[in-house]
Amino acid sequence: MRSSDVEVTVEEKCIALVGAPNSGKTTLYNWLTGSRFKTVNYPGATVEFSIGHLASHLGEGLMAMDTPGTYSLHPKSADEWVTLRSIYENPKVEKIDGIVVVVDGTQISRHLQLVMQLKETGFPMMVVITMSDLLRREGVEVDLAYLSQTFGCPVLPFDGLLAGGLREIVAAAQKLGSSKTPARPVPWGFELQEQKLKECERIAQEALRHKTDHAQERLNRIVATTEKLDRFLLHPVFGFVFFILIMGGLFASVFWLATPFMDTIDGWFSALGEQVATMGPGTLWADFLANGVVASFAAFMVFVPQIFILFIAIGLLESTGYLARAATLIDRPFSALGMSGRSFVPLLSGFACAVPAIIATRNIPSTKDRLITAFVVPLMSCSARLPVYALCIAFLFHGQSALYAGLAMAALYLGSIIVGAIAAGVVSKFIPRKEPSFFMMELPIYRRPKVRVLLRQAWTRTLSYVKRAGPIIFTFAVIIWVGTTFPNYQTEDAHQKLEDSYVGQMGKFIEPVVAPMGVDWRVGVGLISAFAAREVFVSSMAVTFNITDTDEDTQQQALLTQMSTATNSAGEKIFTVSSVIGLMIFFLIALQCMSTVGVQIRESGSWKFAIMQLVVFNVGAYLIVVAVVQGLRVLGVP
Amino acid sequence: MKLHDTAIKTGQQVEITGFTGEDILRERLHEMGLRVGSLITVLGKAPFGGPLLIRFNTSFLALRSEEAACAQVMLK
Repeated sequence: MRSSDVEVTVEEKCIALVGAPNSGKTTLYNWLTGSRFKTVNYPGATVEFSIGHLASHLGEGLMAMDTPGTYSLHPKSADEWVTLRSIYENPKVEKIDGIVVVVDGTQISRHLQLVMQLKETGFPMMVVITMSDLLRREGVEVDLAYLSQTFGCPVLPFDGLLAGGLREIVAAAQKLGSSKTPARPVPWGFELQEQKLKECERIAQEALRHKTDHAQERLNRIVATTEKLDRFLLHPVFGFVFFILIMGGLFASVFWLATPFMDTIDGWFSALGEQVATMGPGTLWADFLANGVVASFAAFMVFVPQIFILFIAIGLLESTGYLARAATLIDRPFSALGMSGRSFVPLLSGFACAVPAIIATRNIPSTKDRLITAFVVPLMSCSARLPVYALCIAFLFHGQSALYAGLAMAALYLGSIIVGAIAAGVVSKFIPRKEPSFFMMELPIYRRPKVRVLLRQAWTRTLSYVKRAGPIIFTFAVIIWVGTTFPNYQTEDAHQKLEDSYVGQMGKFIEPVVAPMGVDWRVGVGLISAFAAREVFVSSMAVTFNITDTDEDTQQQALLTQMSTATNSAGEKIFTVSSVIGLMIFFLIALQCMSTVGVQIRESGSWKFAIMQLVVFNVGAYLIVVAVVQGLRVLGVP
Repeated sequence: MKLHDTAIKTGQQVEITGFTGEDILRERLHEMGLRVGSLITVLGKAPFGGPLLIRFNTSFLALRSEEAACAQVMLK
């Protein structure tokens, strides 16, 4: 995967933003680049470096690079390695002209260590003190001139809420640059490190004392709220209750808030489909547009609101500071499964998409913990599975209370967590531990979320998701439409046309394999197409069942009607309670996403690991589904 | 005594007197801002005997027992 498709021109300077996790780097980066960063910025923390041009209203000739948070230039986890490499041997830019060290204004003494380390390498640099809005509210003023004099580089304030100080930062960054090659960082050793830390504390004290009376007391007031909140949110008993309520609320809101938007989008596409169909009744091209293109995109686009809201929710947890607490709460139960609390963020991101989630495992320092987490991530029900679940649930609880549907969805998500826990427990027995697993998590001060940054981040993430899925969906729409229409396209009888088609012939060939799952060859075709992208299953069902020929109000309604009447060659119903439950279980377990396999190979560095996972998940899913469907039928479930 | 000692009650302040244990853990503790002489307030433990929660100056940290065991402390 490319980390950026931004072109770097010769005259342009490139500056790197480096800082500790939660120092406000990504917020600064967002303001600096405005809408001009083309990078995929995944949910969860920054794990890839990303490069963007300066926002046009700020000027030209400067590129900014965001890097994963790091405490030092002596990396201890894979994402910290990314930061080091991105400033020393960046594959995208010839050289980094300067470094902007981002320092959290409430944590100056700790973060100055990184400033000192970078100073020693000789990189042209400047320092940005963030959270200046929080400091100002408590009447804390930092002597920036003193810091600038001490470190011999510009030191500027930045207010992430209103972007105050942005222009000055850009002006100073434009001036950075040097012809000298920076030296590699030299580790300090414990004794020197403690001395340096003491020195940093002294400098920070001075910088605060010069302009603020009772500086430490005022700073303590900033963190007092956090301490009070944590007394509840990290309480030995209630902490977990809050955790479950917050996570439950998150997933519930994803479904409830999205419903009206989904209905609207569904309405648009049905209107569009009808419009297209009436433009050329009976012609091949109108059939292609309506039953091929519109139907496939409708089936997928309907779920974009849910994906967007899920991204907002994850961003909200991250930017308020709760995500680190959630990781802390879950550390103990997760370590029993061979993972760590740090596995929480990747696993939560896995509910949006497994690809960035697997990349996010870089934040886990121990190799064993990281491998287990990466192994389990694809079992978390990603947003691409939502369309399939939603369709199956709509079929099962058609016309009944929305409560049942909600409970069924909750059961599926809970099911994916349980299956994931079992898989983690099993696989942890097979991976040897080479180094100590460590957790050590900084709990950032609770902050009010920055709505603007949050919305824009969620929007770019959703957009990049849609852009990535779009071409695949279009390609498969064409393939499946052609495959289901030809060669016998003149036949009036739709059923006959499909049976004789190329897809029909292929489906018949694989029918013996899918039959034990209680479905017929048409579903088999859908299952095969789902290997391109899971959500394609719904659109290929829409195409194979020819939904626009019916006169239902909405596209989904039409598909449900078709499903409930569909029969196999023996005249038995295909979609019954047992076969639909089987389908959901199949999608819950099977690893059908080739992008996931690709990123797994890259991140684990092992083909064996990725291929083994692919085989185990798919064969396992198939066998479990066959057992469940046949078992249910024995018990008399239709 | 060590930082994860159960004799240290919630809200108690302790001072770090030395470090032991794995090098990587010790280095990370320093990077996080802890050194000999740092004053730490113990805030409690996460549910199910999870990580130890501490505060020093304006920073909050969650540490597993093994990690907290790297810090030698004395009651203040």
